[in-house]
Amino acid sequence: MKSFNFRILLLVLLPLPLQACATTYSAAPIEASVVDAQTGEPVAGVNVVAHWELDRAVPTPIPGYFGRDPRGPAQLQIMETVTDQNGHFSFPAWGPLPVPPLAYLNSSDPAIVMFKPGYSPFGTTNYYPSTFNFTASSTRTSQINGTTIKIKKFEGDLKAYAEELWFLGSSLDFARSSKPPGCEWTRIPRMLAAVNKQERIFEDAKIYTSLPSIERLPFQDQCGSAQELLKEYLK
Amino acid sequence: MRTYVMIFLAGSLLGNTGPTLAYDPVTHQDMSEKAFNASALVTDPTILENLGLPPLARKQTFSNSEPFPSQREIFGLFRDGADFEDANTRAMNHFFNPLTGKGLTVGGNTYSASPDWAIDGKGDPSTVQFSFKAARQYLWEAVANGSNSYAYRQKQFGLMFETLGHVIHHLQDMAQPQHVRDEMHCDLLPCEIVGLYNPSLYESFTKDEGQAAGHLTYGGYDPVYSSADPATFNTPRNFWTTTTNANTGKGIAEYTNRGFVSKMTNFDNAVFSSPQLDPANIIPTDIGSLCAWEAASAHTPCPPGLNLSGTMLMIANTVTDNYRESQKAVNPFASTASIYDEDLKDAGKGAIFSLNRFNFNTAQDLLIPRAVGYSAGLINYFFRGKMQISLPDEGVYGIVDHSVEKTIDVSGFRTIKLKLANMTPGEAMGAGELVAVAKFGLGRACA
Repeated sequence: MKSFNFRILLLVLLPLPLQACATTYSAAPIEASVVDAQTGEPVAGVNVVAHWELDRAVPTPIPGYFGRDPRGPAQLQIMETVTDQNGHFSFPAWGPLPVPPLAYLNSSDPAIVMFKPGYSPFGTTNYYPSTFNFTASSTRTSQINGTTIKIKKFEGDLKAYAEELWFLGSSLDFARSSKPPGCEWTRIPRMLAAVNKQERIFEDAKIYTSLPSIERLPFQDQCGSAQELLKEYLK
Repeated sequence: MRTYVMIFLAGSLLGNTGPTLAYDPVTHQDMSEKAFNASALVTDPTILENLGLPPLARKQTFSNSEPFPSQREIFGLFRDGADFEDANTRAMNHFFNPLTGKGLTVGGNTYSASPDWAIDGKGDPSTVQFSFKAARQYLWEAVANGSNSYAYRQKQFGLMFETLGHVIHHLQDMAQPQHVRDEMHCDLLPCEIVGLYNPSLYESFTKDEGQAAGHLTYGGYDPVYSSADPATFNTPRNFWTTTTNANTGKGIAEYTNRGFVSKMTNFDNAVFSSPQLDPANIIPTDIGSLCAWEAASAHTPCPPGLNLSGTMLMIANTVTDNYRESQKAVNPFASTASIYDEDLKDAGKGAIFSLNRFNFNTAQDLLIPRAVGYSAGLINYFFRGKMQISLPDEGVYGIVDHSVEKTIDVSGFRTIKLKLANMTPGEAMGAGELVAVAKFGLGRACA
């Protein structure tokens, strides 16, 4: 009987940490506009990626302790689009999507990355105040919704531009450092093609960058040929 | 059984606090890539060449240490190492108070101090080690152990680069005030269940700043180890601290401990005597001017539409840099007097202080470039070794006897003579074993 009670207690206690996290997430639609910071004119053809990133924790052998999942974060949702002639872009609402136990969205809900060749890249996440309760709502909104984003034309030589675009490589690393089967990169072909075209310009000028190159995108044997998938956008 | 239940409950609800983390993994990844870019691995192409590796532009990949390995370029391995160093509960070993030489103690458990863990792997139960010492072993296996296969040597190269990412993660943590003041914080949401969700606002704010292009400044502090000064940081530990149980030296842990406050030790001079609170440095500052400062700087501007007005009491301090004294700086917003301050003083209590975005921004401006500069310095230190081979007095390295005509010599030369000099700046060559790898051939490479 005592043993039975202990098991019951364990069954009650062990799932407690799971309640700290939502079991599903949804997102409200996002609409925004992009303008040239100098002229105020709408900028068409800006590639926009939004990704909702899950942090993951794992229980450890010590009861009550949690550690960071060695697999790193996971992507709950990835979307991309491009601005129209009015500089306008939108992402539809989505969800609910289930999340694994002990996984939860943080301020990258979503992280936004924008790039158009010739311009400095733009990125942002949601800034939360210290009192933000991550468990309060499972429907996430973006702080850029309804705003006008200014992007700057880059002024400088090619080497300086390569350094400026370092941010882009870092922001898109989620797509190329993913774990098996690691096909996240297949969700952002338009952005990767734009980056790749730019990378070729740097390569021709013998400037080393860490921008993602098509040949190095991971798990192409399982995800498909990157060259094939991106060919429409590489023209 | 009751005993077990009580232990479990005590463990779950009282004694445990979950792991502490540090700068967000993505912040570590970015700092590590910046350090790699600033290091001699990028600026001096002969280093890779001397290791027998192709130039970076060839984008050679190596396996990382994951159970199902990914192929990563060198910069990606640095990013991975910096990322993986926070896996599971490794972050508990990322603390170091230079005044005591100790790491974190939680619930009766004492964890390794950051330099002990990062340099020697002390206390690391992992099968694969990720310490500075282990990185040297991987280097040896990759370039000098002739019995290793090509595939194995490539694997060792990957481990070496990734391991250096793990190690420099620690130097970056030493540029986070809570980590040099042994101050617990738990950023994982499940910690909420035991009432111990206590995220580091400095870290989460830094992450968000890093994900906005151009908001964090990584550059401006050159690698601390270079041929210009090979003496100051001539041991791995010196990168953390150059003194014993003091914070007056040139290590990054000392710089941060000495010059910055943290959430729980915010001008609590009974615990940490520096930085000292100087009442003359408490400066009433208009919130509008603070927001104007943010807008003018590269940082994220104050949220629009709030129209905040009022005065904040900002506290300034001078942050000394004992390595590069000319880079001493005044931090105008080191801390902020709490809104409860006046009431507390009226009640005869001491003042308390708080930290906000303005304090975080000025701390980032000083700490992030140093995290990068010390990390790049350690990479330079790791790859500092240079040897020079020159002709012996006889004028030839070796002689093959081809005196018997029309006989193919199959054995080549049996002995080589050479002069060897250690060209590593500031270091004498001690006794040791030299492994020479000879590559020669006629129209094809042999080893």
